[in-house]
Amino acid sequence: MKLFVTGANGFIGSATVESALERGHHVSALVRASSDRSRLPWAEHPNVEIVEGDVRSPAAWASALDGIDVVLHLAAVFGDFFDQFAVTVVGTERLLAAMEAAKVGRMVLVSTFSNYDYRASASGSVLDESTPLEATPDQRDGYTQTKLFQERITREFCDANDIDLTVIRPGAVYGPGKLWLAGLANVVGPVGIAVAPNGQMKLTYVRNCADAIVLSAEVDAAIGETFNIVDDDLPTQRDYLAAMKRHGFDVPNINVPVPYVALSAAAKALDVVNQRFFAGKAKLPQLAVPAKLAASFRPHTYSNERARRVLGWTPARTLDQALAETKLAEAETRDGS
Amino acid sequence: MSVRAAVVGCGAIAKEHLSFLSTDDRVDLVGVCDSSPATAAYNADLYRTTAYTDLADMLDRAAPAVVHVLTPPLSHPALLRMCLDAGADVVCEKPIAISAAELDGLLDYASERGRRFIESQNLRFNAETVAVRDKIASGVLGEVVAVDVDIALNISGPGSRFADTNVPSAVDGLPGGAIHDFLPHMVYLQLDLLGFPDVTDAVSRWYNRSGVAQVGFDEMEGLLEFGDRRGRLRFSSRENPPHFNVTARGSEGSMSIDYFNPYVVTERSFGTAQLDGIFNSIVKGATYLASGPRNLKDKILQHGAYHGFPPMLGAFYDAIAAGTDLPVTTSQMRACLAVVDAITADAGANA
Repeated sequence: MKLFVTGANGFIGSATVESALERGHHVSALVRASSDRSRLPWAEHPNVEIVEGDVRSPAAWASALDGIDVVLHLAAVFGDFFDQFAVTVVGTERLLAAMEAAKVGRMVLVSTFSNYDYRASASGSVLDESTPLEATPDQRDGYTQTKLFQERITREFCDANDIDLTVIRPGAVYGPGKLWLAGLANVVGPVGIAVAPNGQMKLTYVRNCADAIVLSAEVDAAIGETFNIVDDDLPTQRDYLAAMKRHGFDVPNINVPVPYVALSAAAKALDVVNQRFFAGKAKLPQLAVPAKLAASFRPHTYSNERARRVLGWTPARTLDQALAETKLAEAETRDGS
Repeated sequence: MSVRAAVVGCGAIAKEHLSFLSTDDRVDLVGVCDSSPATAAYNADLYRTTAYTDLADMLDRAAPAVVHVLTPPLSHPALLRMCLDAGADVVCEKPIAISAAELDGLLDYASERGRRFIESQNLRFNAETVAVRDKIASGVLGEVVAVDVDIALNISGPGSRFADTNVPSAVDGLPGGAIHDFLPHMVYLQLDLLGFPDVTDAVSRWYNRSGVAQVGFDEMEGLLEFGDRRGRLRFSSRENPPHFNVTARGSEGSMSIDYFNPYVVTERSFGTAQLDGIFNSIVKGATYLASGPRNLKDKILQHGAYHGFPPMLGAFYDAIAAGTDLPVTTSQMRACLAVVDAITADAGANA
């Protein structure tokens, strides 16, 4: 297949290109002019065509969509709300218009677990594709607000223009250069604050996630579906920290456990004060906002059953294998080899 | 009776306008327009109004009596004319025009149609500006002989939207490059505290220290004369910490405003240099000390540098309803553009 990957030099995007090449696809990789390409392992691969451009300015690269079978859309930026809106929403809108003009009939949109309403189901229950999406995005951060709207406009556009759509919602993606410190709320020197240390982590290793993204472009049964992507045998925060330590990563020596219910009660109390005395206008840290706190730390369990069943996906690397691979990759990066 | 209002251009600054328009009793928000359908739809949802992607369509169907033009600078004159043609008055983001001549053309155009407009000069309505203006009016500073404006902000570094080389430059065509986006703020504050005098002479130096072509210029130093009074305009991308200071210097004292971490510092002359120094040190120390907790409170309550928008827009809608003078007058806009012309005249030579 001929795949067009946006955000190809990003954390998940680069791994997705790697996975696609391993599976024999030809990839057109959209890479911004300002990007550092020196670390892209596939830059010289014969089945890769690097397309220089920005998702916000399709006029410069739209011709590269000619003959493409599937667009894998991963482009995203960090920044303030408006920077994220420009890329995540307006960029997607322009990409969709360019796809429609080029008659590309299929898209895989990489969305996010953040879009769920983490307070909609009971603490400890399974959070899966049937969980409602966040109903009050204004209480969440700019990332969630823009990703929710991105999903909405993409579904509407694809419905209206007969573009086959698959939505992937990865959990917390980790790998070389990006290790979630076991969901620690804060690290001060050698001390970490571990909120709900026995809660399951919604982790997926970047290469496992990339495999699922590419599979969803290959499998016809994926059309019209949404998949949560998390790995098998998800560790608790405590287990993940222990595994990181075992593999030689720096982790805090002391971790102070904080029960989620205690933090949640404090956040709710602050919210009452905020609503009553400040009309809800007070801007508080993430841990003091009930919706944001729940999205980060409310204990749930997670399922990849649908992705396994429909895509035939199996996370190829276990936690230990993934951490070993990450350690090796980071050492190679550090040594410049 | 509320006034039918609409917005064209839903970028970052639109939030400040729409927050007011969607909640103030004097206004009935009848539409938002953006060339991006998703952007228009998002804002229409958020502010409970109708989305449009074509200004002519919105003017025709929503029939606003006032349009807020919040699009990129170079599009302002053409869109403003469309709104005036449709019988709407206009609030336009800065810079409303690139030159005094362009502004004069717009003023004539509006006059011929019996319509009015203002350039948004929101910082003039911030509490700190009002406080200093009142003090000047009371004579505490004596005769104000100079007003200096000094901004340090890294507009050419990583993360700056002015330096984003992945998309066409947002400031292409502005004589002062990225600094031009801040220039109206600098100029109208300087003129406000001087009482909007005519500029009599100007000299400036413009630099691109970063080498980022996208920004045009990222450093500027300008000296202005207003008869026997003067003013300085400074912009730097390299200095830290970031600041936005305005200082009014008078024959009896001076007052300084910091807009990024708002405080107003006063220095007075009490007649003896020794006492002046001691007394001013105590007053300044107390001011700085008090500003810390106040700024923290402002940050938590999101009372930011844009808090001048509601009073400015409120005054605009009051004036529209009463048929009285607008809060930013024609002569004030002309004075600002005259200074912008004078200060950017050297930008071409330094390009």
